[in-house]
Amino acid sequence: MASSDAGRVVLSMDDVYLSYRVGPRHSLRDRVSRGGHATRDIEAVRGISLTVSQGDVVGIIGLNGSGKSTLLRGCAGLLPLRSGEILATSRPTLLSVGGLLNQKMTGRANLKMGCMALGLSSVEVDERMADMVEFSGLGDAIDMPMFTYSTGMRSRVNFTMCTARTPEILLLDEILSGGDQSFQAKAINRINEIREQAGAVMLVSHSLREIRRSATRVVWVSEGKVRAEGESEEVILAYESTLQRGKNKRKPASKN
Amino acid sequence: MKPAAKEPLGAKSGRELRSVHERPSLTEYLALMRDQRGFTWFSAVQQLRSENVKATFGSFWFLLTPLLNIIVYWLVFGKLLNVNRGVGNYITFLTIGILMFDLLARPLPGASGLLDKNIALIRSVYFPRAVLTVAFSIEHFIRFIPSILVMVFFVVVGGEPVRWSWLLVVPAVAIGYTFMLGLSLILARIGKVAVDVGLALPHLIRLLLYGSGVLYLPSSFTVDKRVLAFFDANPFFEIISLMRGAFLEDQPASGWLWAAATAWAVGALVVGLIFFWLGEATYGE
Repeated sequence: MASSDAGRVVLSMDDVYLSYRVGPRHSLRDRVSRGGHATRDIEAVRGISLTVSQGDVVGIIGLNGSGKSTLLRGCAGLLPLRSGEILATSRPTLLSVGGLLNQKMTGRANLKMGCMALGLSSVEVDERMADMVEFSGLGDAIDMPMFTYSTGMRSRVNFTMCTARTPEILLLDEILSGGDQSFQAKAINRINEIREQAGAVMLVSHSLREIRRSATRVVWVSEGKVRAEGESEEVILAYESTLQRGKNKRKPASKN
Repeated sequence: MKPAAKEPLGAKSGRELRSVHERPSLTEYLALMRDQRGFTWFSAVQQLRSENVKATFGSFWFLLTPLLNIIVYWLVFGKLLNVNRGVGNYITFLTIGILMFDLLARPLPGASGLLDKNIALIRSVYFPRAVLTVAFSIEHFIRFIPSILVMVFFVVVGGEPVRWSWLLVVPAVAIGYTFMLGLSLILARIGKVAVDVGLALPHLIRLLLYGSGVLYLPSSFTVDKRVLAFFDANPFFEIISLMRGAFLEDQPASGWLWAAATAWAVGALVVGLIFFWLGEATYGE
């Protein structure tokens, strides 16, 4: 569809710093006890530069708390920048576990509300509802309140919702991890479809298998910085070997 | 699944690279809000639906709450304290005062905590955040509709003659809603930065309740021009008076009052929108 555009940069990050604020911005206690220079921010991303081109599926790997999810939030424009710059050809759509879903509402109502928040009209959602319900594979459970759902079912609703329209740039945060094998296969197909339809995808996952199956390039993030970047297999192997080393180190320590 | 439609997500879907953190211009912002009207309505209605579902009387609470409210105030102020001076039809006067004040002031504490309450949603999808405040105000407006019926009931039972001026209820309520929306937008942003504001608000609202002629007619209690000027300049008192003027024969509202209330409402909305829009980038913090 847009093969002529392949390689065009759609998302670029330049020396990005992102942080989370914890607690109030100016608490009186801080001002008194720390002389007015209270910073209760957690710096999650510290100087990441990356470029994503059309047709890329960038897999992001790293340990818990390494800044992967924060980076995606920043790319979607949902978290203000501390410094640096993030440019994109259109606003990336972030898909993360549990963000949108209202537990008291049914799966169907959540699908509708989520799609509308993402910019579909009520009529468009109604037109697609049957397709979406089928894709989710939830059957009659779609009309039950979401608090009755398992994690996997919730992630099905979430994935269905966020891919109802083909975003130009899609950011996926651990979205496939909850689903079972059959849904994962479906979801990966859908990701490939999006990529073919002139899209780019950034994918955060702890499942290296999943990354191997869909990523065209892998970025390894560690302590808010890019530790390695490049061809999928190479980076994954390097990552795995440090995981191994970590385990080996820990073993003798625990025995002593 | 059907191949989906082309991307009109966010203000920008051009070919050139633009900052994802750039704030849309005010006109773009308003256009984005207009595009989200379906979401706005849907979330307001869903929110209302999930309320009172566990109560035995269910949705009847939307009617019971204003009724009980009136009864309590009527017992204390009408029967015990006799503040009904200068008002022919006190219970109707009181009803209109309390219910209009509810429309204007009751959402305000909620508005100040709105962005924190929705932080998960804000951090997962981009849409113009003012939409949340609009949905919130609509939710309160829908909740107010049974109150209008309660007012009409007391007006009829109170023996007020049917007059054309009853139609003025429509612009009076519109002015009230607009004012409330404007205040909510302002408080939503302030409440995001200073949580303390939300904690102090109930006290401020109680002060406003006594200072807006909700329970009594100020001119029956004082002849001090400065005090009365304060009441006349108070938008809460003005909007309540417009409503009373529409329904009560002995409480006419002057043209000046209409002009002043309209100015307050439009002013609050314009200031609220701009003020809220200026903080747009900070709401994900």
